[in-house]
Amino acid sequence: MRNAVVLALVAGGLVAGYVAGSHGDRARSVTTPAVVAAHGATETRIIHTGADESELRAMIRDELARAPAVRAAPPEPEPSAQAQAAFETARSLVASRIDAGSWREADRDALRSAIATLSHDQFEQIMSSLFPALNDGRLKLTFRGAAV
Amino acid sequence: MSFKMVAGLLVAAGMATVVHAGVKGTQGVVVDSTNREAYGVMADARSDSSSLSRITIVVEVAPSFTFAAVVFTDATGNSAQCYTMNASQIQWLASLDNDAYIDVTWDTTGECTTITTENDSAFSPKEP
Repeated sequence: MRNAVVLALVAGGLVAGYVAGSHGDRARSVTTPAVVAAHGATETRIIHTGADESELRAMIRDELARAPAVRAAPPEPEPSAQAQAAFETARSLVASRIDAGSWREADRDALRSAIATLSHDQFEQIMSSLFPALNDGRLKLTFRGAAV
Repeated sequence: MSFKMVAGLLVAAGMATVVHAGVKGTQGVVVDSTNREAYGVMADARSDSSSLSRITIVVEVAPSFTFAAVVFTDATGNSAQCYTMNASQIQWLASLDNDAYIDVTWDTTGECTTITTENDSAFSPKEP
């Protein structure tokens, strides 16, 4: 449904532009309050141009071809040497404590020191190793409070 | 006749009663590791007769990330925790009322999947 609405909005915008550019004298537009209300400031127009479906599809293709490509979010920058070293420290700490079976307050403090410089992805890797071990009993907390 | 004297006479006559009406409820800490869910009311965790019951929320802001963790420990010492790096969830947790009910679920990586909170007049305020 959402795609259909987006397609309708795109089509509406394209057709409006097309009509304004070359067929303004033939156009009749009707604002649709319901759609306007649903999409905030976006105004949607239904244009009667006389164009058939294949012409509309061609117009949409042309317009999309001219539109700037949607850019993916930039990848996270490479971690610094400091972050990489901290990551190795944190990873090693968690792994060794899982082997030992306990998570002590000193381990939490050491992890806290290490994670401050981690990147988002590195931090997530550490947490996704630590938390399952805490929750399935491989790691027992030896103190009260948060593990991190 | 002073207010104290009137009150004393009313109490003596059995005419003065302290009314505590309204719905009240308690919900201690529950840790359901099988279904990866934990919940409880903050105030009831504190007032539980067990010295182990606890609900802790940690929010940490680091240079490259922000995260939050929620830790539940029930009356028998079973604990569960999940973390989130989702900005909306973190904001929600950071603004949570100190006496609220909180329910979390998590996935196999320990990441919180849902966080449900509720404020209700039925919940007790925390007491010393």
